[in-house]
Amino acid sequence: MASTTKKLLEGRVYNKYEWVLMDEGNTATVGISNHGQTQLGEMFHVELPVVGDSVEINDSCGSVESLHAATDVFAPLSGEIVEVNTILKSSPNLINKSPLNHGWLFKMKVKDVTELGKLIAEEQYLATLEDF
Amino acid sequence: MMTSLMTQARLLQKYSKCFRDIPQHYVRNVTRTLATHSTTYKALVSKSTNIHKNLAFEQYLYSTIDFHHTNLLFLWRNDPCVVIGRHQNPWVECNIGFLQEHNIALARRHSGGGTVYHDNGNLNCTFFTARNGYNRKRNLNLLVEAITKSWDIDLTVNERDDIILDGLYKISGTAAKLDKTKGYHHCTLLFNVQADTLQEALSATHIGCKSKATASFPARIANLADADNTITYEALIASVAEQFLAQNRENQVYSAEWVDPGSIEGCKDINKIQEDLQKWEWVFGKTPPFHIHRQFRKDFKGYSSHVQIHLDIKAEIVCGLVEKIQINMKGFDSKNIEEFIRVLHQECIGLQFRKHTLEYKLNELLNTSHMYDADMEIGNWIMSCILDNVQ
Repeated sequence: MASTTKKLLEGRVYNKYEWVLMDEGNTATVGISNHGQTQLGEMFHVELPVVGDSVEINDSCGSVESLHAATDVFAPLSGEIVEVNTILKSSPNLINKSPLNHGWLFKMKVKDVTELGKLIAEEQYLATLEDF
Repeated sequence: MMTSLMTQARLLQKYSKCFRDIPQHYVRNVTRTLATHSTTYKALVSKSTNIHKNLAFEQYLYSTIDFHHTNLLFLWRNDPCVVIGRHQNPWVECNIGFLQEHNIALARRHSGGGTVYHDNGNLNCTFFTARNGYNRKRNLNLLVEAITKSWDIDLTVNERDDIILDGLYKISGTAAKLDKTKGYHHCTLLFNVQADTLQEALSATHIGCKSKATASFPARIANLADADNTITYEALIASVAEQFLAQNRENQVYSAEWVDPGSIEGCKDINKIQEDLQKWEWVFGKTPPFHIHRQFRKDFKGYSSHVQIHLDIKAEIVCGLVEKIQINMKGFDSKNIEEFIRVLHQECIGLQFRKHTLEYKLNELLNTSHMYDADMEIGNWIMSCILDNVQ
């Protein structure tokens, strides 16, 4: 478990509230960042995108309802949804307990890897958190 | 010593200059700011009291305005209605039959949170900001300050972001919606709501429903007017608007604007949003999947022997439609009733989980079933048990 966790924490890139982790085969795992889940509060309900759907970058794909708000989840990249984390239907607070690991939202086949250039590396993201 | 009437008159006179009627092109101009970099605070008051029209207007303001340098307060109130949160189950949260009998509208909003009852004794406040300006506590503290400045009452904000009167009674509930670059926080303020109607409207039979829908937190409520009967709608919106607009820099003088969402530029778009909000597929169809399980028992007399029938009804409702229904009957053998139940299992699939839809179908099945006398009596009873869940 420890080595898997270490692997997941390497190589994440971020937009303001979400993280993306690429594997070697062009599949990206997407989740809500620790900063995002802290701001939103305890999760009560998660609506996930549909497997097979195509999304463009910044399209709404799913939503979460938390103590503080109902919030749409936005696709950080363009591509096709290939898997969703169905455990979140019964345990939405996994997003709070393990936002970077077990609380992942969905996986997508990325259409254009150059879009990753719009996201920022973890170290830089953590340094800029005060600006948010 | 001031009488309550004199206090009201004094407040209304003081605040009447806060308001003016809005020109038709106002909404397009609302983002124009006098200062380039500081935030401008503006306030709108709706002339409409239709919940769907006001929710649509709220949605329209949210989607069309850039809030980077504008914070907008929207004040509105509605004719009697019940409003459920984005992921709630209306069958569990309110008494749908009561609402229909008393012409109380039912709406589902886009923000999360719990179910509320509105009438003209409730003020809704929506605070629109950029995403990084979103701050519920600040908004609620502003409301508390606005009210306690004009009236000597005990108001606090609790950890659930409710406004509490006298440390006991909830007079405000809060919900919010956040997007990439903007967000809104809206809340209720009970100042003189019909408490009896509220109780009846929100007391649903929770029998046998299991779902993952967001549940409301029940609370003891009270009205601001219970603490001070000079708290009227006009005086309340004046206090709140003044407190909000006071955040503008001294050289920016703004008044709160009255607006009729039915006649301003953009009203066609607002009407379209309103239509979508009123569709059954939105109000009921967006309910998260839920499961019903109920059991009934009845004695049937008048046959050759006394009969006691047990009925077990299970149903899965997805997107407001019957996905599966299963009825088991014990205590009476009848091929006709077995056949009726078998057909019912098939024919109800895909139907909207609503009383007149199911009643129509079940009557149709009974009329084409060739059942008579005892069988028909039991068939009618089975129908009434099914409809008992539907309201």
